[in-house]
Amino acid sequence: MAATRPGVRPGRASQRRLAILMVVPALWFVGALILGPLGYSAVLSLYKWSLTDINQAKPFAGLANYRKLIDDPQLMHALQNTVVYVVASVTVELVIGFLVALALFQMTKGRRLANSLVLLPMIVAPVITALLWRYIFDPQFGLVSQVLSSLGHQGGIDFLGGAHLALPSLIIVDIWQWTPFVVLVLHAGMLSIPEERIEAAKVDGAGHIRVAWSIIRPGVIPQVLLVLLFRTMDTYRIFDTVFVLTRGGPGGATETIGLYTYQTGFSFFDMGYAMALSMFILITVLIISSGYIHLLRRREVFR
Amino acid sequence: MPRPDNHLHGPAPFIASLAVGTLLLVGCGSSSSSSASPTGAATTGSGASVPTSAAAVLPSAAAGSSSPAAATNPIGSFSGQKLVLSRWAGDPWTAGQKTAAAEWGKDTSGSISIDAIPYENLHDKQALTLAGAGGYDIIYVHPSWFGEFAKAGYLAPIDSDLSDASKNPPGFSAASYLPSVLSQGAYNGKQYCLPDFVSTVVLAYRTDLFTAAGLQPPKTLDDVVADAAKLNGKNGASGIILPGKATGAVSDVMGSLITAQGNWWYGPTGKTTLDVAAATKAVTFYTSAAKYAPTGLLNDSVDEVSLAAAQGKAAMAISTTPSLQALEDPSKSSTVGKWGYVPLAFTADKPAGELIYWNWCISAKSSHKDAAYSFLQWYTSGAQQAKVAIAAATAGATKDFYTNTTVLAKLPFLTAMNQALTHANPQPSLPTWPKIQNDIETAVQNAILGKITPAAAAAKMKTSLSSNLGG
Repeated sequence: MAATRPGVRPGRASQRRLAILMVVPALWFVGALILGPLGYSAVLSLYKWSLTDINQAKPFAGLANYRKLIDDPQLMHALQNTVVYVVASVTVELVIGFLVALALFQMTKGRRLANSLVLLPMIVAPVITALLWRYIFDPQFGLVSQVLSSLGHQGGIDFLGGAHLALPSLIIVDIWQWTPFVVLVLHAGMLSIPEERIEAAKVDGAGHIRVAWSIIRPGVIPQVLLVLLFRTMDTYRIFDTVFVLTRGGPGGATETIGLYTYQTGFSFFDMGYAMALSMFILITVLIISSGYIHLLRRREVFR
Repeated sequence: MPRPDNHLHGPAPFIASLAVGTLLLVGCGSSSSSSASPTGAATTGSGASVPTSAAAVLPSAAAGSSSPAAATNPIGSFSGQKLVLSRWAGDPWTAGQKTAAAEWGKDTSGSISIDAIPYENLHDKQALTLAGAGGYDIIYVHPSWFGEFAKAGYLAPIDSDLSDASKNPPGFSAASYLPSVLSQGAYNGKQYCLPDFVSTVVLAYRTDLFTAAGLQPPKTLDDVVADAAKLNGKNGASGIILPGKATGAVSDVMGSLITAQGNWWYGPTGKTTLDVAAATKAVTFYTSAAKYAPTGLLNDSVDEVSLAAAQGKAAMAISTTPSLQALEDPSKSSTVGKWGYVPLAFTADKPAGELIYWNWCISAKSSHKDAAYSFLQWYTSGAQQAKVAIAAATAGATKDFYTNTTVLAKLPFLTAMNQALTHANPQPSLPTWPKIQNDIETAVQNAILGKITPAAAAAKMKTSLSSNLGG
């Protein structure tokens, strides 16, 4: 029988061991499926390895791939595009999402139906969404061009092929698809606000705007932080929509860090550098996420 | 890392080896036809001049080298053998392949299941499958990753199969293929693959609009730009449309444009031979033509180009020959029979193009290599390729394919294609090419956007070639 710590009852110690034993399978899965590949990626980022040399020895390159990160102008360009994409998408999604969630919250009839309709875009696979928007944006045959043409504007608008419109067009697609997620989370947050608090404000003479600003807005701050955390991580790694709609073009105007990493690994076959890029994405996402998580833990400061 | 010297292809060996299969075809204009000439004169969408002119020369091209295309059955019996074939998804090719696979299975008692996935994912899927436990017997390999697969040992050599009389129909051997195209499937002196899907880049122009405007068919690229300027905006059509999206077609057009100036991306030593002046001229053409293109050029792939042209949105279109088939397809085109085709040429006496092709290869891990070879030999033969050509507008790579007058009549752009291939370089198959191709296409896009000059775009191409090819 195992020895027990002084002051700890034998029954509790065995319970703790049992608890640890029960967690072991889950830990093993986490280690095998998440930490293992991550560690392997980190190791591979130290090698000069081309995908064309799969059966050959990989020369050790030390930190060469990481030094290349610093001097890579294409990475800086992709990073700039990504930051614009993240900030614009997440900001607009948050504002629209809050307003729609508020409208849903204040609905007395048909809330369920409205909820279901609002969520529809989120259900569609991102690639299908991208294909859908590709035809909406098509300057020759697309829906927008047809409408504009009927209003007298001939020639179409170069949404995806124009240097200045391509990135905003991708942002619009993201907003269309992922605002429902924001609505879902914020609406759930609003429903958790004690009703008596809102009633009390109304009794004190607060109008709808005052209630929304002073009661509901502070009440959903934890959900806002949660949305920021998820949407920032998702948009930072955006790949599928960009790949289908523009492939980073025209002239690199929509190249994001996710697309650049994919191309480096699977189009240019430079897996060592692609792994270093992956590590860069991982570390930057971790830094951003830890900031949000820190705020989430201190959410009482917003109250 | 560049492939070994014997796999780097300059214009000279290519032109020489094409002589048997295609060079004599080009002579059609000088031999008899009044409507076609070796200087890039037109053939019409009706195809009326094509069979006459081409057939007049073809018998002499084929004489002594191969017999005319005749249907033969697949060789061998492979009862119970189940093969898996990897290719990209897209009709009419995939549907045609399924029909052919069923036909092969009926004759040999074997079976082939087709794993067709989007082109964008094909390389990754094939590479991961071949690097793992295998799973594929027959693989459709693009030139840009053929070198990678051959170098990694994923492919089985087929020299002994090609020379084994028992595995081929009477008279069929490596000599049955156009040597210049067959050699693209060789690596380190070993033959790994059999080619098909031969195509190139040509110009299509609306004969009705040209006639109405009193214009002659364009003979040079200067004519193309001038005609595009004159026709732009008339009859609801832009002057010209050409691919602008970075999907490989921009690089194919650029390859044709520099070949038309006697230049190429790299030479036999694997180092870059790009003449910046020639590249500048090519980019200048691209940017000049783009001024008369419909809105959205930089997001147009070959499919969008052919669709817009087929729907009457452009007076001219530069694209790959398989995609241009849409112009003559009544289910897709409102302009059927209104198209003529000419090769790209900076000077009328030197039409040029990039040779586009695909490789059929056998997986080194396949347990059914004999059956796989049986299918490859049968499918790439002239008779089978004739069926593919009529359905999908790609040409075969055997000499007897070019003796099939039915095919010649069905492909109105075949004369222009053959003229283009008299001065041609094969689509690069270097492992480093995808990165270079991306740099070339980004430079062209930036030049069209006006962010950089054509000279600066050409300089960027040279820099990319030098750094990726090691000099």
